[in-house]
Amino acid sequence: MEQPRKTAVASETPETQFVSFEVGADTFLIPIEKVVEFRTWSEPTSVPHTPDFVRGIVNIRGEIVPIYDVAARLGRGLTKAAARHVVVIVRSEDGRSVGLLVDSVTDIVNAQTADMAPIPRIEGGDATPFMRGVVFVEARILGVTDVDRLVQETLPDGALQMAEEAAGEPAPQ
Amino acid sequence: MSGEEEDLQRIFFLECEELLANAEQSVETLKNAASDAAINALFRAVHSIKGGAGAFGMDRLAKFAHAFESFMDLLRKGKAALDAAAVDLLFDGVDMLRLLVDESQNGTPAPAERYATAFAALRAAAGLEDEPAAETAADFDPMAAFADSAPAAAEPAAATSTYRIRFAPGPNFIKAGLDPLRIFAALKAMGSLSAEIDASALPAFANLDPEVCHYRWNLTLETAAPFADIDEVREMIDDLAQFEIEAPAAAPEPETLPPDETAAPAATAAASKPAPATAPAPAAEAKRDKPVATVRVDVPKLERLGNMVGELIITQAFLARQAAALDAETYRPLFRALDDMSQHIRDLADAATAIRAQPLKVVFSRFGAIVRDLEKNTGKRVRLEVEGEATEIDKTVVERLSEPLTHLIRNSIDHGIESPEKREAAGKDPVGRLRLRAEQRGSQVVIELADDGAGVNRERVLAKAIERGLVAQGAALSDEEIDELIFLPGFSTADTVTSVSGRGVGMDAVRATIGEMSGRVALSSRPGKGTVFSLYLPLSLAVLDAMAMLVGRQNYLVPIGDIVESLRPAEAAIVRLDRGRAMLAWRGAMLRILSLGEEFGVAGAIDDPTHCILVVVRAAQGEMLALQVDDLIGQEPVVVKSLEKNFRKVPGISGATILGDGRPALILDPQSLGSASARRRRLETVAEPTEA
Repeated sequence: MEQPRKTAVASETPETQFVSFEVGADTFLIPIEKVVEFRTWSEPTSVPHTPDFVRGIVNIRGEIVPIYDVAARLGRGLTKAAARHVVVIVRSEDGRSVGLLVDSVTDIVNAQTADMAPIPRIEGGDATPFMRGVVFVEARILGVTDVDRLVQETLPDGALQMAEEAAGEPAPQ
Repeated sequence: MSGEEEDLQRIFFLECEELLANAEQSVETLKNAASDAAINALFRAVHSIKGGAGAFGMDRLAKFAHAFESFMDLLRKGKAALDAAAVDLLFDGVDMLRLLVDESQNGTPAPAERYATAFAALRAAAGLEDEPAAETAADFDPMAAFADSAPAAAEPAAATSTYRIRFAPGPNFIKAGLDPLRIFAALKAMGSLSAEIDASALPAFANLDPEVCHYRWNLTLETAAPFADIDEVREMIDDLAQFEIEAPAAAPEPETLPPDETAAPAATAAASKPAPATAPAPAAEAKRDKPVATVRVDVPKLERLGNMVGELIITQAFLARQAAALDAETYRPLFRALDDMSQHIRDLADAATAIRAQPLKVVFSRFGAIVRDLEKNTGKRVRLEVEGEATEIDKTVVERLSEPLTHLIRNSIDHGIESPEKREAAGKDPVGRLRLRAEQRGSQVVIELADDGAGVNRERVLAKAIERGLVAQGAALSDEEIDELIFLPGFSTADTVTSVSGRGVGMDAVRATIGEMSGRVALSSRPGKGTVFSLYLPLSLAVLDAMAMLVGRQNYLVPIGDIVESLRPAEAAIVRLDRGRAMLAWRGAMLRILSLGEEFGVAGAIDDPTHCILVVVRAAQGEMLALQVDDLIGQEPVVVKSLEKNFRKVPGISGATILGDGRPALILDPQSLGSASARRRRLETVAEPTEA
């Protein structure tokens, strides 16, 4: 049943394809079926009374789509976005389209989701509440982002607590 | 269930909605005066529902409609009196039909007890007690209906005339897809028809062309329908046959009654939908009821059309922006074409809006029953007068209006109109008057609900507001400001929650719902004379006339309907009263200046109001607000896009649009901009609570 893992482009394997992207020094994965398209960064129209990680709204084929700054979402401060930055448009479980501002998109990789392991608590980390788990990609272990959580503006209580614990300080208001 | 049947059912439920609205209106008419037209209209509506219910196996609905129809038949024939009890029965019957349709459509069971009572009452009134239980409408085949006799035949009151018609199909009659039977059915729907066949043109068998109708008919139609209706049948024939109508014979001849006249008159009317009202209706009504060819279209298809029109408007704005850089002299023909295109697109947008429009009758027709219920529950007496129900507005608005209007009506009867005794003591008609009026004014629809009750009890409202901590003790409020208090969240003057008002939906919810549709609610009240609520609603939710404004490098839009005036303030008009906060002296009032740059944190916005433009808008709670912007860009039609689809509601923002350069811009909602600031102001004015 299970075929040996190949590094080449996936044919029909029971593996899942992921898009890998970078935010600061970290590389994260998004399941490819969540990804609608990639766009280069251009300054969006800002929306008042929203958290700082909501960078604004853009027009994608007549639809108004919000852009979330992933670094800011993780509490790492605003990305100094320029034309080289990438916006990954994802579709959440509840059918919303949201753009994720990341530093770069690096690759499309295959990984076995059956092997997905839970995330250990990382001291001083901030991304844990947004991770579904880790998978093995060749020699590396990468975190799979929980897109549905990432595109939520407020986190469920438990997650917030996790974030607080993980960050070792109270979450910002 | 097959997809096709499902489609048919969906159409049936859509039809039910219209039929029930018609039925309610008819009963409302009958409440005031007997009318053959209304009785017939009601009969047809009930009959159509019964037909569909029978065909789709909705037994309870079909049975009930059958009893209802039987009773209607007695009324039509004058065998039952149309007294107050009968009208009550009709009201209850229509209410029950609505519940049963809902039951069949959504599976919400109709209250069993109510069903039993209403069903028994109708059966008793219709004299159906002795009929076997097996007599249900389920055995009624709507497809066979056109073979039955028409209701006109059973109409005793209407004067009938006898027409002789010579009908001779031409050689292409059948090939064109026509059928003599359909012609007969259409004629039969108007009255009783007898036919005499003329086979003289039948060729020898060898020469017989099966696709040619060789028969001719001499028809005798006895009907109350006007000549024009018979002549309309000619249109079905399309010049493919000879169709000569002979002037009516003086008196109806009983011998012309066809043999199938014995068919149950109950199973009749509406199967022939285009059949005109049998009783002679007043000219105006007849004109309105004249059927116009219609097509049913799924809402998503309409939305697609609306979206495409929206995209066109955006593209046109883009072209206009690009062209602005060109030399007007050199490109004169281009500019002319752009102007033409812009006009066409406006017309197209208007046409698309008109397609989505629905008459307010759909909601208005329900209020008769609601008022009647309220009369019963409160012991008050109310006469509801409805005007302008043909006024059309976007379908979505029509649907969402039901709840706020119902609440306003409840409110008017519960709090406005006095008890008959009090009214008499005040020298008023013991029957209160509630006038619901709609009309289109420009790109807005205005709905007014006026009562001749006691008016807002300002003393009580103010006392309640102080008690609730909404207003500071000893605050001096104008009458208008006091009236506005009833729109505050959580405000309710009812000391006890009655079954009528106070169901958790307050006037604040009314204002919020209307606000969500980019509309607004205003109130004017005169003590002892009554209260008028006015609803101002945009014709379309999709395209909006808006003023584009510049703040820093951001564009914002405000609906034109919300703008009272825009001005560049003189130095003297800016007043700094408290901590240097600027206010605008305007028409004898002091308006708060809301700097959009500051409120929204826009970089590069101009600070000094005297270097800005101030846009005076109608905010919430009747407040006027001066929005401070850097500059005005201009008025343009904009396409409203939802922020909520992919994001969420943002306070102070009603939606977004896409500008000519393809970038989104926010559309401001002065109502919620204002209410956020009004809340702040209230917090400032409420006295510091002192701990006991």
